[in-house]
Amino acid sequence: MTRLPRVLFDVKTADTCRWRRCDGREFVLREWEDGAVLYDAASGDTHHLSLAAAQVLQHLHNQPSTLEGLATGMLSSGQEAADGQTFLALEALVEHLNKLGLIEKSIEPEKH
Amino acid sequence: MKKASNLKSIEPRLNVSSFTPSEITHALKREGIHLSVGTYTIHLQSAIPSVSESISLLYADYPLNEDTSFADFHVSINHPRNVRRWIHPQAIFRIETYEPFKPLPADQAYPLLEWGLNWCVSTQYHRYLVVHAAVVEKNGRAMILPAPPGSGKSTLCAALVLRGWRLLSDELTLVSLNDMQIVPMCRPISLKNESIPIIQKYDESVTMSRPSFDTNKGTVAHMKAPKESIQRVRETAPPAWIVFPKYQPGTAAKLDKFSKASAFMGVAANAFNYSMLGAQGFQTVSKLIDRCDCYEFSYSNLDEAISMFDRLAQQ
Amino acid sequence: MKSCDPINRVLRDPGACSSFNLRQWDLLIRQARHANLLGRIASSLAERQLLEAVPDKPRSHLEAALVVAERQVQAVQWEVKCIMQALADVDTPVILLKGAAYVASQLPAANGRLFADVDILVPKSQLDAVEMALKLHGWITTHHDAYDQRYYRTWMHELPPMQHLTRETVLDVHHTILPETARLRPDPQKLREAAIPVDGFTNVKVLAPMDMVLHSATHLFHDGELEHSLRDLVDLDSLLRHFGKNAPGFWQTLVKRAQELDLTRPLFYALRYTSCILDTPVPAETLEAAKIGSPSKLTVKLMDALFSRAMQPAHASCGDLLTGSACRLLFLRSHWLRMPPPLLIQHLLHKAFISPRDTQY
Repeated sequence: MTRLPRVLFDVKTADTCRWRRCDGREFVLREWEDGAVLYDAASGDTHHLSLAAAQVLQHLHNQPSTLEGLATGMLSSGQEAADGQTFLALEALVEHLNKLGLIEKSIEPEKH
Repeated sequence: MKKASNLKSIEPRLNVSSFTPSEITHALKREGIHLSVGTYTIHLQSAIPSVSESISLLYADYPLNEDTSFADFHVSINHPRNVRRWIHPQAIFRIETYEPFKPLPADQAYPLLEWGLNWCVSTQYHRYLVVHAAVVEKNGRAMILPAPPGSGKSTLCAALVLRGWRLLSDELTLVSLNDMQIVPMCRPISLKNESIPIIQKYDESVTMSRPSFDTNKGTVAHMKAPKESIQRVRETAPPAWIVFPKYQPGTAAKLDKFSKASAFMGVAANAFNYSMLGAQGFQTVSKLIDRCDCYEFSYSNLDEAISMFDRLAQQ
Repeated sequence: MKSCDPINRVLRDPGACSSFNLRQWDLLIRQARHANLLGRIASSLAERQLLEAVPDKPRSHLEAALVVAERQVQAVQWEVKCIMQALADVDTPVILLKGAAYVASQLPAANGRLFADVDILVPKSQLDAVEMALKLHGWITTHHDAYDQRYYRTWMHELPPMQHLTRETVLDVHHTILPETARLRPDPQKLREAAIPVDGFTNVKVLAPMDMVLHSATHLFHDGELEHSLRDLVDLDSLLRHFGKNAPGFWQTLVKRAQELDLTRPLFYALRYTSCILDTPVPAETLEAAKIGSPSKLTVKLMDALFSRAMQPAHASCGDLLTGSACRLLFLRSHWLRMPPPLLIQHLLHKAFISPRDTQY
């Protein structure tokens, strides 16, 4: 990801907003050691994704998640918590996937 | 014209060279000829002398079908019927009655035919993934060279086949959707501008068409495919390497591993029918990438490039 | 007339191709490609498990046409989704017409069909809002010439065609099924009231079975797009066969519906030429009842001569000396039907003197 988010990461919005994979869509993902490609069966488009973006997508495939949930879920076993830098990168990734029409904001109510 | 009749089993198939140029001119002008180019048959009709001249020269070793019942593409190249015919003669390419391109000056009739045939294959031949790439073979393995125009792909391809690599295709790589084999079509190699004298110097015995000047690609000439490649046109080859070439003046040849995901996008972007094939296109390119080592290659010297590729083929 | 044997035989009876020799296959593929029917024929052979038995060479072309057709169906479905997303905020009923409607309602008429564009029908009062919403979502108006703009907006039944900036797909937005200036005036409100929802799509409707047939007939016999006339006749044949079997009371009420909509003339032609040319099984009573829309005997004779030629694929093997003039006459006729004479003359003059700007030579 080259583009940085315009605003600094806001814990409050991130906390309440859940992301999910777009409804009823069929994706085919192929990963190699240095990147991934994804076929979107509905639009017929192919996207070149970083491995991190592919991981986000797979994570959201299993269940809708907030940014925080994503960060925790994607941490490698050695790490304890996501730092601000990771969050920024993650937010940009999510925004990118949203723009590609692969994920969307979930409308289901929060269970707090 | 010679008849094979009852000698068919002994006599080899008739080639274009079995006939005199004037016999070919005559046949082309009237009912046309059925030319067998690897996996497909072209029914070609043309009353333009430069076309028949190039066919006799560059397609000399291609089989002429005596059985004229079926052709994959029925094409013609002729002077359009208009007043300009007498002032600035033009050539128009037709597939049946359809005219995919505007007429060009008659001097460009033969290159226009080659572009037209590429158009036929790339728009109507979806049994294969059709990639805009040169492809050559050595030791039973195929090397795919996809590239945008100007990357020196055709020059490199011409040099490789003049140094013992087998030509599968210089412009369109056909990847079989069933078994992932590369299917040769082995037509003449299109060379542009300064590549023409470079290749002529590279091998003085090379057969080349009369150049056409001032085409939208500059000066264009076609080089005859080696006879052995034409004779082995039915032999498919498994893909082993995908190399994205780039001509960089004054640099030493350099071969670098290329990211597989990027190579995927590079092949997909150069495949005419990638999007048409939908999920099957995605699967086919994925399999292709899995089977191949992918490289980026920059070069300025042809001999250096070829010895590097020869080493690759030895591994 | 020269023989059009292979394509006509296969359209009437796909099984007929099992006896074809290579020369007949060669001609069939050429004719079918030119009539935009290669995909349709391939899919009807595939449905009947006849494709496997086709010799390898022609089969590769049929399979290629199937690939194109399948991809087009996917593209149309996606396009409809995108259009509906763009129109989500415009509170208006949207009805899909023609090919897009066949795809959305999964009718056999969609199988193997090629598509040039997507057509939708919206109320005239909502045209501006619809156009605005589409422009906001990346569609642009394609006809910039002021005359063309006025031609569409003032006299025709649609906005000038719109094209999506990135997908390059073309969308035609109609507010009725015939031009404002046409002699027949089917009431679009009646069509909208009878329209039915589509499974799997929200906020999208398609015309009711009878209206879909009447619209297809009107489009073919009064709208002058003759280059696809055989393809359109095949569409009609497929709709009639499908609804005749599956829509209750279809044959009994079809003529009555045509009367309600003021479309008995196109229905008469549709039933006459589908049954004549494609052996469409139209019940005798329906054929008889449809005669209410018949013009005078002399006109029928003339139209028979014109349409039997125009309904051939645009291929050299199928024409005779009269084919060209038949098509020109029909083009003139379709314009005659769409516009009152003074407008017609103005339009033809404009086309004759202004349009050749693109012509080469």
